[in-house]
Amino acid sequence: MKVIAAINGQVTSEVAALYGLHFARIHGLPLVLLHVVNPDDSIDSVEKSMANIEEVAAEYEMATERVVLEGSPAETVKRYLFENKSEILFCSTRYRQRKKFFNLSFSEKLRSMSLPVDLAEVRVVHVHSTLSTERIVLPIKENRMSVEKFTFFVSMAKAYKAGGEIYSVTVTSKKRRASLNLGDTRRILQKIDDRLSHYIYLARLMNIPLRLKHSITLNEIDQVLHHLSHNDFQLMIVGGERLSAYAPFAKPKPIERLQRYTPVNTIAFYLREKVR
Amino acid sequence: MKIFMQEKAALLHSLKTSESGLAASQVARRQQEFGPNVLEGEKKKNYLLAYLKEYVQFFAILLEVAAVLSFVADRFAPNQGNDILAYAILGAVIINATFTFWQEYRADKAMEALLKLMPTMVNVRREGATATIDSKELVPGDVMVLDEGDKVAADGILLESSSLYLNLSSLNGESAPASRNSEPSKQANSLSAKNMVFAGTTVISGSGIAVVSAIANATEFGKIASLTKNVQKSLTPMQREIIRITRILTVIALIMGMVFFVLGLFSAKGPLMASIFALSLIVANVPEGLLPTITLSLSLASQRMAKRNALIKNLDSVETLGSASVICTDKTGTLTRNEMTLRSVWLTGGELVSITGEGYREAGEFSFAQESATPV
Repeated sequence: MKVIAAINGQVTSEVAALYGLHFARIHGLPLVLLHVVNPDDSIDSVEKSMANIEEVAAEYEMATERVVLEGSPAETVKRYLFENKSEILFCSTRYRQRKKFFNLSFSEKLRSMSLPVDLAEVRVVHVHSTLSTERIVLPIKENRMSVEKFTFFVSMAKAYKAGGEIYSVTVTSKKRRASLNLGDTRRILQKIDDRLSHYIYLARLMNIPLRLKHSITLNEIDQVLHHLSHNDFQLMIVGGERLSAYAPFAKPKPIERLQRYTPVNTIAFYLREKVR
Repeated sequence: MKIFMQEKAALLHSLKTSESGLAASQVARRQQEFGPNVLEGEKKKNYLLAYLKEYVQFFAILLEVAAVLSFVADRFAPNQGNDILAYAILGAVIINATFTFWQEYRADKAMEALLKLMPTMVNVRREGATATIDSKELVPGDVMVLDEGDKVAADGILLESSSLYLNLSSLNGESAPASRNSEPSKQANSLSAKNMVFAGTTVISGSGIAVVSAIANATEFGKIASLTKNVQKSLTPMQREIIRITRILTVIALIMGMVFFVLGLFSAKGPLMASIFALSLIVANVPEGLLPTITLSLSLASQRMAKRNALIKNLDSVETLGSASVICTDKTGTLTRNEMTLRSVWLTGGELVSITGEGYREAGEFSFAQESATPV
């Protein structure tokens, strides 16, 4: 099994690859630096990025491998992933002001594909956050937590020796929120606590400082952005859903707004296609 | 290690830039990757739509229906004053909608005032030459050239500085100029780091060269703007009570209207008069004067408070302040450091206890007046 990092010579792809490097390190997996030759990318920048990552990998005595392929980027990466048994693909995503029909970015194309690996799509806003990551937050809707998402979250927390926070957001209406009394609130939060308690125990066993925070709000994305602005996190991990074939025509997903305006580096974690 | 704790060479390496600035091709690619240096919320709000929304609130709809019923009653039974009632109700709806909209409009202007603190043009060093560019085009890794009077357009770390003082009041409320230098900081908190400059602040005196570490919403100023924007307003107890009373009165009015309509059908007046009577009854029971009365009362209360040096911007605050018995506040301690320090305690017996120590630190002493100090 390998961890793949897609490199295009940009500073953001280098940061995404560094997150991949730390994930690979904590799981003892080799890191593959994958580049698909593209007229938009400077080969010098790609070489430089790969050298920088290899330099960091050498400090941790990690094995890395360079792979340079030719062809249509997303299709070529997909073919490579099917031919080479891999665990996860790290790639960066750029700022997108609005959805562009028929002009999906590399990461959006990957999201719409059926891939045999998990996908970690990294939105970089701080180039330097990989230097020091002390607090990582995982926002979830109420108690919706998958084992895979939690595993990825604690892997990153363990890799950076960072403290973790699960931020549970319960969306309600203005009217309902106004009428919530202490007893109702306690019941809602207790239900979430009960469902997530096993994850807390697991984190404790792994010596990862983890805390659980709740919020009852009218708008989940506004609330998460508010929480990020109010606290000193260096990394956010969110669970994402793969894009459907009609995604270019559909209304933008809330996660897109979150990635656009996030004040911290954000990894959107997309689970691999399940084998039926 | 945090970026502002790094030496110059390591810092430039971390941000993948150099002292002479980024190359044009790097800038173009970074602009695509990071997006423009603008804050969320700069998009123009549709104020017409926001105003029209005030007419589709529950109470407004109720009054509008009442006005329509009055017009209907006037059509079937003219010259009984139903048309005047309808116009009065519509007037109340318009006044209330305009007043509520005006309050929200002023709140939006507060956000716009924050955005105005961001500069439009900025001096940067790219490929060794200094140029003046639109601040929206700044990217992480750009080298900003700061001079006296400049507004800072992004968060950055100083590479060079000469007697540099910044006005950080937009971030921490402190009006005194804060000195800056290019020495790597030993503080772990970016806001305390002396070698950092922040978006939304102003150069009071001196000059400096800083490398951009964060733009747009990722800046400290962007976070504050985000906090301002995302404040969620919940209903005040009075608003909740108004909604409850309105609903009860509406149900009573409807039931009474239906009962009298049914009774009217059995009377000698006929179905037309029965329906007019029922409609008039419903309209008469709708509390159309409630909203203007509340608004007027709160306005009068706010004027009285203004005469006593308490300026009320939001009318709902009158009610909230009316419920307050004790207000604890402090200029800097609470507002900027989020901590309070207890200095003295007056006991019921009249004794005065003085307390030393700062914030949440567990060190300090209690000393009774005219008695020896008791260590904690």
